[in-house]
Amino acid sequence: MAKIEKKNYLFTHILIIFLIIIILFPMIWVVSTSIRRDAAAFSPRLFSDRVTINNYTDLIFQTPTVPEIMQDLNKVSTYIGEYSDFTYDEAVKESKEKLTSLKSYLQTTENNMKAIGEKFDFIYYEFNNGYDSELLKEVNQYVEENDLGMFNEMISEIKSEAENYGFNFPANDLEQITKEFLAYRDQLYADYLELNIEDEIQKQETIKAIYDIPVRTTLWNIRVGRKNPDNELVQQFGEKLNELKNMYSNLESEIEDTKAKIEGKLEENFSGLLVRENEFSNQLESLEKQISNLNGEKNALNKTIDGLDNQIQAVGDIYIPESNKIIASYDIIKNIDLSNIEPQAPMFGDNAEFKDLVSEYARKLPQFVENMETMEKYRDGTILSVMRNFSEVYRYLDNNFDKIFAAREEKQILPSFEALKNLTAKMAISLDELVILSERYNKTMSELNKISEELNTLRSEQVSINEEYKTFESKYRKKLNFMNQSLSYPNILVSKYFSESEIENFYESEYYAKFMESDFFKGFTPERNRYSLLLWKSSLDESYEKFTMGRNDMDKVISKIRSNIEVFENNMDDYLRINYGGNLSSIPALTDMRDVYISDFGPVNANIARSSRVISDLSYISDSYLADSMKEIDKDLYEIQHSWEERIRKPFLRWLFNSILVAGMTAIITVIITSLAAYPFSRMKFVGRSSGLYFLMIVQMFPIVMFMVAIYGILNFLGDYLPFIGLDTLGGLIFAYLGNVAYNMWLFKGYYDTIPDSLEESAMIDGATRFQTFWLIVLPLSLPIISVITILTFMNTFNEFVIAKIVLQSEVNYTYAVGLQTFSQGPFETQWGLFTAASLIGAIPMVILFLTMQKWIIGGLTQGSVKG
Amino acid sequence: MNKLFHLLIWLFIATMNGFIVWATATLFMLGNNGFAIVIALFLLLTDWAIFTKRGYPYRYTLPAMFFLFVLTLYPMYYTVSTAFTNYGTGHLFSREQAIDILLTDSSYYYEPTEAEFLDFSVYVKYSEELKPTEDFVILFEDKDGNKYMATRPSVREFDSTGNLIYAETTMNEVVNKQVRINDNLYELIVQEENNKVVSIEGNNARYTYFYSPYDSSVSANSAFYNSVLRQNYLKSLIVNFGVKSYSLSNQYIYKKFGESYKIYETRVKSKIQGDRTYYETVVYNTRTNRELIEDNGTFYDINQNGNRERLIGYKTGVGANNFLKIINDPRISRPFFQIFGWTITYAGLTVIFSFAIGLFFAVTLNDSNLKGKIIYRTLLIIPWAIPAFISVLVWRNGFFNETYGVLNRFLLEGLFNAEPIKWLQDPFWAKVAVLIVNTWLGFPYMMTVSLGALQSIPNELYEASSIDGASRFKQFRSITLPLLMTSVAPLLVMSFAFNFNNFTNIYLLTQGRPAIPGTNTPAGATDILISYTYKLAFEGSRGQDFGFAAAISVLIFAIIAVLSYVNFKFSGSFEEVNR
Repeated sequence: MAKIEKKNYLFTHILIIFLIIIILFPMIWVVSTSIRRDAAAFSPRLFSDRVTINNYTDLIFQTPTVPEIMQDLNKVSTYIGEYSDFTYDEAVKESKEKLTSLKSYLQTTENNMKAIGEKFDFIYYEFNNGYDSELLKEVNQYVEENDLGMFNEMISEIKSEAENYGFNFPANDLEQITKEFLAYRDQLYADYLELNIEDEIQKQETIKAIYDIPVRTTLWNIRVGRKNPDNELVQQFGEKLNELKNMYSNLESEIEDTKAKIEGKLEENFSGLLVRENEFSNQLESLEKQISNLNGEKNALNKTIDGLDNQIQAVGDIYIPESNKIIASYDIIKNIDLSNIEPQAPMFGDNAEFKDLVSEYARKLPQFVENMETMEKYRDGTILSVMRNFSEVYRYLDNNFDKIFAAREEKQILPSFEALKNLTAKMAISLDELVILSERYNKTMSELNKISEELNTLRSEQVSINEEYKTFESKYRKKLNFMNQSLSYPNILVSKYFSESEIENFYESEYYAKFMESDFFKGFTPERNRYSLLLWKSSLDESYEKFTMGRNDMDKVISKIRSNIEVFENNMDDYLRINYGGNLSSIPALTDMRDVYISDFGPVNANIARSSRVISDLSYISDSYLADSMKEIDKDLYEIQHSWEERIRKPFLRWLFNSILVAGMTAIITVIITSLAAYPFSRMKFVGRSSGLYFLMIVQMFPIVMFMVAIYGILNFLGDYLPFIGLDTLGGLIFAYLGNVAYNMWLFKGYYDTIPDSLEESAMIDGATRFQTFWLIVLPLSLPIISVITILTFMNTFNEFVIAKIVLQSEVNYTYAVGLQTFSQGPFETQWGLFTAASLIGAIPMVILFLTMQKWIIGGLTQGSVKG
Repeated sequence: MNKLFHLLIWLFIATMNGFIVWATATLFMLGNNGFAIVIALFLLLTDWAIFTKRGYPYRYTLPAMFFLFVLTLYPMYYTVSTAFTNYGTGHLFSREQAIDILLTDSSYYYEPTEAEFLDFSVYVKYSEELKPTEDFVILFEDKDGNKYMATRPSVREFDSTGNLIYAETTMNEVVNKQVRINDNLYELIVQEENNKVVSIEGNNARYTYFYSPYDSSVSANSAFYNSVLRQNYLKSLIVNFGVKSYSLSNQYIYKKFGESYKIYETRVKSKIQGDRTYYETVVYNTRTNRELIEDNGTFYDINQNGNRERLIGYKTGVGANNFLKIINDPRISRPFFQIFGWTITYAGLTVIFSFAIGLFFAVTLNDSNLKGKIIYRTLLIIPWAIPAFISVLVWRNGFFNETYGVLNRFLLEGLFNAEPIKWLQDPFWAKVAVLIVNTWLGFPYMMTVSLGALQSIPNELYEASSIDGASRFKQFRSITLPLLMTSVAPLLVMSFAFNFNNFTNIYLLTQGRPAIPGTNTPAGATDILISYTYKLAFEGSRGQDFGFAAAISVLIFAIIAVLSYVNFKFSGSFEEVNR
């Protein structure tokens, strides 16, 4: 008896659970994103506890929001859209309903605002009554642990490295100066408190003057000092501020001095390294400049060459067509026997000119041809061959001109002679130009080549210097780094001293954070949320400020809307009567409301959104009893935003309904026809029985995507005569899905094969027809497979997307699959809340259906393949 | 009762026959011969099945056959025949339709150099509620003051979207304020003071002055004129007067009628081939009297510079050109073979990965001692249960989105602090993304199938081998795998075939992008053959090429058919058919 080892299942369980979490993570993400309030795509958090079910209600119930009610009201009272068939009474009733819901929205908003205001008051109350000192303690602790610790580490690192190099940092007074500065500053704040400044702006300005780094006093002087010339205390304060400024300048110069000393010492210790580095960069820089200059020249030369090219081409365009005529005339002339002719030279007139031209050509053309043969571009071209021909022609003419001239009338070559004369005259000017052009071309080309060579040498020089620099750098990188770091050593020290001092109020903490985030010390960049604790108070203030601004503006909006509502209500009867009579007119009260919304709500929304964002971020770093209030504020703000926002509405429920309808009908009809069609394959003998199913299955493998054009045409044709199964109808879609018969037939047949036919035989002996045995015996026994195929077909049709996309065109006819796809593009691409909610609404029923039916489905699919 | 039932069935058969015969006739008339033949064949089969004894088994299959014929066989035939044509953008019409367009479309009209222009006004019959109707007449006046009248066009042609493309009417000269058109006498009613025609009476109707382009006093009527009358009648109207013809001239911003004539006309040409004479309709340019060149399914004219100008194309057969294009044209063959290779790789890798993962889970969950395995199995099936298009869209938008996606933002930048990957832009990573999603979607099926198959392996084999000292790994390799393969192999091949054609996943996830540079077809790095075909047929930005797409479909079908045939043959699944 073998020992069966006891397996350790714990490990397996852990492994499987871990894998399941990873695999199902997308679904978890979908669920969590669909209930989020914030815009998930832009949030830095993967999950969020700011939840709402608004995405779902928006899709399912589509409760209209304020702007939508306003639009609806407009439509009702002007009888357009879906209200165009209303009677007068219906319109009155509808308008009244809408007015009521509008009014209730306004009231709710006001209530919400009030509640939020109270919560803010609560938070401020708590803060001013003890929470602030607790928070300060936390802040200081935080700074000590994080910043101070970090700076100390940095300092010790740099010092130890300095030891390695035998380098000593020079002595300095930074600590003393910084500490004096900070102490004086604290004293200054106490003085400020005694000033009792009333004006908000002056308060802010003074605080800024005290705490901001670097210290500046000009603005304070303008905005505070000069505004209170008679206030002794203020003037004294101003003097003290000046003193602060001087102290800071002192600090700055001490920093600079220390830096200079360090630099000097560095040069001593690492002499030459810095210099070498500078040398390298200078060399590279000058090389870069030279190269770019040369490139510029090269480009200019290329341009010139292009211009020359064009000119040569243009000239060639003149020559080439004429070449045929010249060659033709030449051919005639050259075949003349000139042996017995007495030469005669022309004396004057155009013939003499012709002779001159000919000799000129005979001289210049070969030269030109020579030039052109060196021009690579033209070497094999038409122009060159034409020119070669020409040079042959004119050489011949030149050599034999006098004889030809004498014989011209006698040998009947007068026409050719004249032709040549005219043509030559025509082309005379061009030839000179051509020669000049070709010379210039060659010159430019050789310059270009020279520059290219220079460029190449420079570039290789650049490459070699770069390599040298790289080796230098890698060899001395650590030292170079150290040198760069030590130059900012004074700044590290000062930052450290800042972080050592105790923060005594929230203004100081706010400016401390600002100081750390500035480029005072470049070696440290805090991450985004590092100082959120320090900015607690200023964040709260910001949130409250934005909220108040939003609230004030919202009050104005609401009162304007209310007055418009009043006007409308008073005159509603008249308005409706006029419009009902057929004279469409717009109602000023309603258009005014809409205008108010469009122009004034935007800024309100922005402020509320910002306030909401800030307060929710704040809630994560506060203690729970305050955090709860903050979260509630956030939630209320979100509700306000949500009920005032205009939404893009899609007929989502209609899509679901369409999908279910189409899938259901397809399933039912498919089951009927395939159960019928599979029967003979299982029970009867006929031609095509054995290979029929085979053939059908293979035929069904044709990629259905290409059927699209054919099916489109079929539906188009059918739709003209039977409108309910045309394009863009659900009937047409169902029709298109019914072609998928082969696989279902195979499943049915497989099942029928397991039913013994003895039952049918005995029934037939008793007098039943074949069809009756099918209908009354086989079919009822096949219920299991019928359910499987119904469900499978339902699911597959529900998920089908390609054919639906092509057949359906109007949005209201879309199935869920096509509709969801439009949901994931365009403006919705990052509206993940809506998209995930829509996905879930469609996915969950299908998942549940699948899971409950899995036994059936799996049985159906593996049937026939598992021999067991 | 039985008799009634029988009567109904005969009635049904009769109606069906009638309907199909009528449909066949209509289709033939419309020129859609393929469809007509298919339906006629089906009718023959139906009648044979109903009326002969031997056809009894086929009666059961008739409804299914109907849909098969219409929705599978006919499209197949259609696709195969399209594969041998150049059907696509620029070649959408038949030759007759193309000629028709050349003859009627307004862009093929020209105005002679000394054209005559006519002013016109529209007179409309008002309804009882004093609203203008579409019953109207047009009064023309030439520069000498002669008046002409035309009734509204009786001949009108529309295109498939319902736009007017051609309308025609005749005008007659008004003599002594009277004119006769179509046996109807019309009389002009003129106002004495300013000689204005206020209305026209005739044909038992009164047409009141409604609109004239240069008359600002009736500009209020321009809305009805422009949106109804002009859009439905005047836009493409040709007014004939003897040998002259007029239409709205764009020289006067469509406010006057100007002489315009067709550029192209047809005539019959006889060709002698051997000893037979053929008659052929050719199109010629009336101004140059030159015949149009027809080359490769396109009409060309010669313009003033002596160059060929493309006019319009039509659908015509091109033989095996589409297939040869795949091999011969390097711009097409390179992406084609690249896509083909990727399709095989993609299907193969998907099958391998999903099978490996599915098998792993199946082996782990097959243990009878493992508690909660039903829960695990149910949870693991969820990726399969969710409709594929939902999951793919979720993966695409939420996870693989480069800027906002979860993978980039939280996993790489947050956890591993690495650079974000350009998932859907980089060819390599897009392929990785596609494989990840497909494996995720496919492994539950493999797991289920493996579980089923594993359960059919008898336990005694394992016990016996463990007695003989085999390690678990050896057991797996020598017992599990071979026995598994025999039952699962056909499913693997089927899965390969399914993924070979898995349009939905690829299209929804990446649309086949990123695009392969340097081709003129919309080929992408993650395209599989079928998505490439779809894009060619429906989304080519340089035009849709149905012919070529059809050719590729035929190829795809050939590959899959061979694969499935081999699979069926070797798996013996069809042994039972021959019972």
